[in-house]
Amino acid sequence: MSDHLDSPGPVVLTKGDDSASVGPPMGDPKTDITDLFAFLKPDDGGDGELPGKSILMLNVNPLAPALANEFESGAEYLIKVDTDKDAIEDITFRVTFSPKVGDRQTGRVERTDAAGSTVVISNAPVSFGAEAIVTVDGPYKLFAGLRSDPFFFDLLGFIDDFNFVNGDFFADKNVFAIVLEVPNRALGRTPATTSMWARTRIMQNGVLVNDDRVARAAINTVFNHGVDKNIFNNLEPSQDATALTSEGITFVQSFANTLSALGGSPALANVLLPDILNYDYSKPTDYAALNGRRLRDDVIGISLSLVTNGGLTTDNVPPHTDYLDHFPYAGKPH
Amino acid sequence: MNPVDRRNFLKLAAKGSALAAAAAVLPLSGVLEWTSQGTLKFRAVTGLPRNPLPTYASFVVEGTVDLDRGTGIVTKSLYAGAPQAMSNILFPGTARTIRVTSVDRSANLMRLQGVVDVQDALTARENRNVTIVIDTSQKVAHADFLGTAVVLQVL
Repeated sequence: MSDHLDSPGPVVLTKGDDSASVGPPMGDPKTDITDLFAFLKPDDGGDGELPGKSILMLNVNPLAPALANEFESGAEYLIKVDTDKDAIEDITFRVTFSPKVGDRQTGRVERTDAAGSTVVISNAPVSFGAEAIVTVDGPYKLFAGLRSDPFFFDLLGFIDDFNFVNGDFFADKNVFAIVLEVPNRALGRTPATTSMWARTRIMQNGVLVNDDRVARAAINTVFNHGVDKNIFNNLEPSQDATALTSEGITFVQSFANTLSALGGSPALANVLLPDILNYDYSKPTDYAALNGRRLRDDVIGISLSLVTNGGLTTDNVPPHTDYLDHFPYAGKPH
Repeated sequence: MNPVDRRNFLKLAAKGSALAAAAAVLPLSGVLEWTSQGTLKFRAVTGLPRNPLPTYASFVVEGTVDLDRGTGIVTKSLYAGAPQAMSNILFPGTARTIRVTSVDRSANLMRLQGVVDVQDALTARENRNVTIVIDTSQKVAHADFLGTAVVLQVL
């Protein structure tokens, strides 16, 4: 639920005589982003590998494989990197997948910047079982496939009005993970002004259209009401400051209203938007310091404390114990 | 934070912003029909969590009850998505099947008593003995979600 199932179905927006359907056309879990992680490679430089690497993890498909057991071929799974604080991507890691044939599917990673595009990983097998199939090409590594969902949260407690007594809903859940190891030089040369977000795009009537997006944890789930969840997913971060909700107010004002209702500071809305994950790879990763996100970072505790101004500080759920200390870091699937 | 503190927190928080609270009020839907004399079929829905939090899921209570015999089956389910955009994705571990054991009717109220036979599914705060009250004049149903009382709307 970092952003699991944040807009599971399409919603029809009507304005005057016009109407449009926004959101996943089929509520497709294969492109429903659950979380984005970005952290320094923990064992960097310790085993003769190239120093200065980061791990980028884009997870999709909540409750996998119950709802879907593959990546969507024809969709784009994107990690967009902004290097100069304008909330517009300067570098994009684009991950795509072949159609699944039998029990085989392969992935491909392309890095694009102003100088052009380069395929950095190709023909990488997707893992559907417990074994993590890792593809290495030069300084890049890719894992794509079924893993234990690293997110931890008392989801039922959230649904039950913050009654956090139910334990970790995600303790036995899986996702489809895309884990990239990249050299930090591939993230640009300006760590202090680097940020990122994840985006999925799906093919609709022969055209790729925006589907889901996630940066910080649970933003869409906690702040946006009803159809605004779908509208928000369709926006790019550079639009966050000025875009309007279905009620005709800005998302910034809407966030401020929700923050006020939860006892938090409305001024925090201008920190939360644009919704991007700051990632200064020259400093230690720590979500509490608004710098990247590790698997074990208690994003819910941090977020609860912020948005309620200390009124709530925990959901009483600790990090999972199945994280790996090596690539691909997310635990074996359940 | 204990449950009392939590409730007070939410109560205070809800007073903090009428606008946000209004935005969180979502349309509800359901069905209530008499399929034959003495048989009630109903469906009631509400969005959760409640104000001032955005609705994330739809809690559905539905069933068919033989009012004369005081028997029937009622299910409680939690689906992803708010009521106006409810998906068919059922949250694992949240479905409950209730075997109705008696029905009390008074004026516009129907009080269904039942039991959850599969106790393994229940959380610590849930009771295997379940009461669901349907108010046909107000078109609402009173039930519990994980032990917390909620009001659902029926039509």
